[in-house]
Amino acid sequence: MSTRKDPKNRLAVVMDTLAAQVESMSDQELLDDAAAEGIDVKAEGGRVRGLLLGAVVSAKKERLARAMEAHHSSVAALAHRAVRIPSDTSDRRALLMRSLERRPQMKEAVVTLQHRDFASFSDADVESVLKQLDALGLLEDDSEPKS
Amino acid sequence: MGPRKATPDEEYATDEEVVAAIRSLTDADGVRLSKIASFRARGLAGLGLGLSADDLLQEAIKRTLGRARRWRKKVPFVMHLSKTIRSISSHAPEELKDGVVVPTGGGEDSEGRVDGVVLVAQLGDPERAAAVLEQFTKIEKKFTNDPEVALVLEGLASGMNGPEIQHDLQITETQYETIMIRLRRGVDREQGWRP
Repeated sequence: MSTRKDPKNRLAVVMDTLAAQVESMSDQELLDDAAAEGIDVKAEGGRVRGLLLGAVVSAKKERLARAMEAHHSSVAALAHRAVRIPSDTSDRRALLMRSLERRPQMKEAVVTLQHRDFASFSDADVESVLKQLDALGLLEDDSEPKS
Repeated sequence: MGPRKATPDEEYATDEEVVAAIRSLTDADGVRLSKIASFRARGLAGLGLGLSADDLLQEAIKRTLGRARRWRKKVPFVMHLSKTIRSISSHAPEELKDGVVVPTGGGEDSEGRVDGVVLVAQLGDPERAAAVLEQFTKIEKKFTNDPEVALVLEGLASGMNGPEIQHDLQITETQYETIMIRLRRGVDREQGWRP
């Protein structure tokens, strides 16, 4: 257990007090300090602005990299799920029929979205709807006909 | 009907507003932030995190943009950054103790912990403790011939606050402030203002 006698704490508490002092100093006091210590205020001001702007660029790059990684993971997950959609077009249509029969409200929504009768759906329409249902996790129980 | 109340998200700065605020910092603001970060970094020396003043400044920006510590626009930007730096430095010992984690920016994970890298250093490293003791001893020696500063330094190091020290030493607030200026400039001269 560390105590105030601990040299780490003694140094820390003094430095924290000095930092808090700088926080509350007026600009004039700050400039007086800087002059007394030979600090080039203009150069330091510019350096800090540059450092902070550099940190913005770096943070944005990291955020972009994380977003890209998440996107790639989502795409990979979708691709993995799509594999479970049957390759045969008649099997696909049968799977979609089974799925929509179990969810009449979904059938109504799908037909409305496609603006035409379910019977006239092309193979591409069927595949597209299956992929969307699969992405929503709605095909989990529909792979095999219920007995 | 009164003015429309800002929604919670509008209270916080966008990335563009943060950039504009950085560009608007005066030279004095820059020096202030630099000195605050410098003292905070020196205060962390005993933990062996290896965080410099510039690391703290950069980390403050990363947390501001990474949503870990967003900037509420009604707070002056310099104050926001100095509070963020204080938060980083004050939580560093806990993060080290909890999971040997050092903040490196980029937001929080699902459990609200800040992204970090694993440290190899441990709090009880005797070499580091010796180095910190040496730093403190150097500062003490610096003021051997200035007993007022030496007494204030000892008071601060013992955990006393300003009013307690003033009462203990029977000095006025103005005298205390004057002594603190000598202490602050002396420490900077001893260690270099941006070590």
